[in-house]
Amino acid sequence: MSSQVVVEKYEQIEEKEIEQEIKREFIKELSESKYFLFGGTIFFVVITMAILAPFISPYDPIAQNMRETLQPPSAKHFLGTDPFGRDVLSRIIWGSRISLIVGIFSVFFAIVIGVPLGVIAGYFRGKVDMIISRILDVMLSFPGIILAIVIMAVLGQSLNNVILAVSISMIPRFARLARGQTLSIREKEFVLAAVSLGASHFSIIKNHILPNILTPIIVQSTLSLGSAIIVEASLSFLGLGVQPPTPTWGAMLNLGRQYLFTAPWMAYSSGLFITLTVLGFNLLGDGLRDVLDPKMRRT
Amino acid sequence: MGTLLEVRNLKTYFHTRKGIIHAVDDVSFTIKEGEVFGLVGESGCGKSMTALSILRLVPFPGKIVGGEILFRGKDLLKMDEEEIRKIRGRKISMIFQDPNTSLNPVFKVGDQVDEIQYIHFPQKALKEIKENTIRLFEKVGIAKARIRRDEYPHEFSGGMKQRTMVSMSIANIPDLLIADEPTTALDVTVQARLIRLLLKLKEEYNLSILLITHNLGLVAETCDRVAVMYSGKIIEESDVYELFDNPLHPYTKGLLNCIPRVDRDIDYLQAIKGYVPENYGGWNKCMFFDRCDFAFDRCKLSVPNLKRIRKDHKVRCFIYE
Amino acid sequence: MLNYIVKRLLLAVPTLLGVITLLFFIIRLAPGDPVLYILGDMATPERVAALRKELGLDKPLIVQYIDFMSKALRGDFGKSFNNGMPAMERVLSSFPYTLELAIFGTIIAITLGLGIGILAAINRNSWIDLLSTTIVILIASMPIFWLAILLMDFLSVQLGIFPVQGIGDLENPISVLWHLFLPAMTLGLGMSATIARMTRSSLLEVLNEDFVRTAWSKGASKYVVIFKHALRNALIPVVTIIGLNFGYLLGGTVLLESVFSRPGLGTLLIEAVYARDYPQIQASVFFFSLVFIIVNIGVDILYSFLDPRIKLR
Repeated sequence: MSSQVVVEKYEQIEEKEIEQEIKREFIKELSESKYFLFGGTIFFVVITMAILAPFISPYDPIAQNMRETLQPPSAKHFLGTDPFGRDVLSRIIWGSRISLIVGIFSVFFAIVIGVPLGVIAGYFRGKVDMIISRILDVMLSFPGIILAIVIMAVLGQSLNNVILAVSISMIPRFARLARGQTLSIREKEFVLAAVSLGASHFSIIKNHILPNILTPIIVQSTLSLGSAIIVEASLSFLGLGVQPPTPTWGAMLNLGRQYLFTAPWMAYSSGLFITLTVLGFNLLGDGLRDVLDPKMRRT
Repeated sequence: MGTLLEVRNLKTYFHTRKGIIHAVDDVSFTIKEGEVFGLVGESGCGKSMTALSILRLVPFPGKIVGGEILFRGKDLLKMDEEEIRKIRGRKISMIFQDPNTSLNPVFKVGDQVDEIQYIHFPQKALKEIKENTIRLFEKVGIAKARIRRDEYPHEFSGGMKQRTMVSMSIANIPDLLIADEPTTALDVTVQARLIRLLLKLKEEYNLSILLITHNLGLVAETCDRVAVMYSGKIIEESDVYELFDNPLHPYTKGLLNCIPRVDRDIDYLQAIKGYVPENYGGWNKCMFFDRCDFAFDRCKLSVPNLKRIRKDHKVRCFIYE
Repeated sequence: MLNYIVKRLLLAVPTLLGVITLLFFIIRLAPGDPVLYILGDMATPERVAALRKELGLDKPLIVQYIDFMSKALRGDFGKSFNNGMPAMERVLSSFPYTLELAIFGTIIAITLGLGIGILAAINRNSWIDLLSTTIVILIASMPIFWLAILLMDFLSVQLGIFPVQGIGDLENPISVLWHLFLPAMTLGLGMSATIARMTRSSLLEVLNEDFVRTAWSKGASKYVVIFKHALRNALIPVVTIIGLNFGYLLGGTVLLESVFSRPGLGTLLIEAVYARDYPQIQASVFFFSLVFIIVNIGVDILYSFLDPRIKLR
């Protein structure tokens, strides 16, 4: 009798060890992935820049100085100044805040709303699925940026509205992903087994469905972070994003475009930073996917 | 009956992150004309890789690193792309284990059998080829061939798909047919029909067949000679009657004991404890040591050679050295 | 086959109705009173009431909705607040400029994307592969308007080859094409990145399939195996991606029309947004969605041609 308990305990310890071993392998492989390291470095740099903005920014980003307009890069202004005499470097540094805040929050909300919708649709099927899928279809028939543009047009320009607009434009992709994954998981035998044992819907979703859809959602999140930053930049570029004088990379690029021949440093610095940041997230996502999904490894 | 295929010291290695796997570790055997040669072993012993090596279809990260494969005297491993291409599907054909994935899902079934013909006989009229395909379908037992040749693979059953593969492989009347576990993915009743078909075709065309399988029952029914593989090496080779009457290697004996018998009163099914180890870096002892009931010290210290014990019966085991 | 097309078209109808519904309600979320906005300084209580009646804003919401829906389905989105012309008319007259950009952009994207993807897959892990993968990831990370500015800087400003903006002399087809080239190139380049990646990974996966091994064992040549057996199968997910990314393409035209100062549906939309010209916004967005839906149906039909397993539905 007691030997049975000992055996069970031994099995539990073994399970724990195996889990830890898997985690260690995972971290090891992750640290070997060039994509992940490179992307992670960029991510780290940009996030530090955003957080420490007030401390590392050499000038006030919105302070105008009409005596020093359109100065090329120099020791005094590393990235030069814009037509209002504002220091470009400072605006870049502060601009990272907007990009990251919009990126992170909109992806967060898109997941929080989209994933449950998708899981419910995929798990319960029938009428619920039909309704949710129809709504997603409608949302998906608006090209992403256009949906965001309309929302901004209607609600007005503010940081919150930008986050709202971007997250709404991303909800469908997470919902679709979650739904697809849920549909395939629910056919698997261990789910049927759980059902036959009388498990409740909630526990099945919590214990079986969610852990198994985690991987593609994580990968999609990193890729969507890049997307979100581009959408935000696009909105700012069109003058529909966060209002000036708050510095945003997109608006800087728009302004820089007008002075492309005479003062290219504005356009180039903002364009490069957007690209680098998005690149970082894309590499991060690729690195994660390569490690998490063995099927992709062959390619 | 002359010698058709001679495999000499074939080595096929896989370079993986964990090390170099000697999937085919110095394998040699001969197949004569009109002979059915069986290559037997459990999963992972290297039999499939041996077969793929003959046609140089070893997938990445595998590579043939040594040896010779003489087909009618010419070394297949030394041929260039064009030469080996002329052999594939024309002189040596192959059918694979899973018929469900072996056919291209976007092309019609008949067209795929046409293709193997016009690859090697481009001068033949397409109409003639299409008619020939219909005849081949009828020969392998696909009913309503004329209509069915225009269907797609997903409209065929597993057995029909495998028979399509068979018709494809004999379309150009090859000298050697390599069959890699042709019945494993099929239902039992369908298996029997397929084997009967293969044997019938063998008689009709005087084919040689290299049959890869883990099923000793199948071997008993069809093969003339057999080689047993373990962990990349051949550990026993003889003609089929001799193998069943007088198995020498403990592994072979174990395999034979595993076959359920209806003519005896048995209390429980036999199994060989453990599993086939992956051959990293080659044999450094007898690789069957951990599972062998007859092992002794010498077995874990050095590698036994393949020795001829009787006429046509070789074995790789220290018991016989 | 015709059956399938009809079914697909019918399925699109509720989606279209949903789009119109969404447009109706979303505009009503806008703060402020459009009537007051239109009249501006000239607002008097009588004028306000009159305009309100004219625009039908005094009726109950349900009535307004049904009214809106029935008009929309006939293509009537009312008159633009800006210049009084029927909104849909302006949409239809601007659309050709957007269409030509989209078509040329797509052609370039597919040609470049497939070509690079196939090259990278065939020469896996060689320098061609690594170089193209790097460039592709880089381009995929750029906002399309940044790519446009870069190309513009090099090709228009520095080298003076292409014009910076406008659509050229409409009477002269060469001038039109000349002005079209840079924006179309940008669009194509931007979109080719995703296509190239998908093509590469899809092709690599397919090359590992059993039926490709069968093709090799039949004695097929390298070209036959790759371009006949593998590619047909590999293209299936690529077509899906192209369809999904068409939305990105449409969004791209909006941004590129801004960068290159081209008149088109995108410019129309942006102007309408600045001017709070709600009927124009609705008409323009509706049309974008309609195009997108139609393209998706086209992709589905193409899909069913490529994959015989689908036809039976």
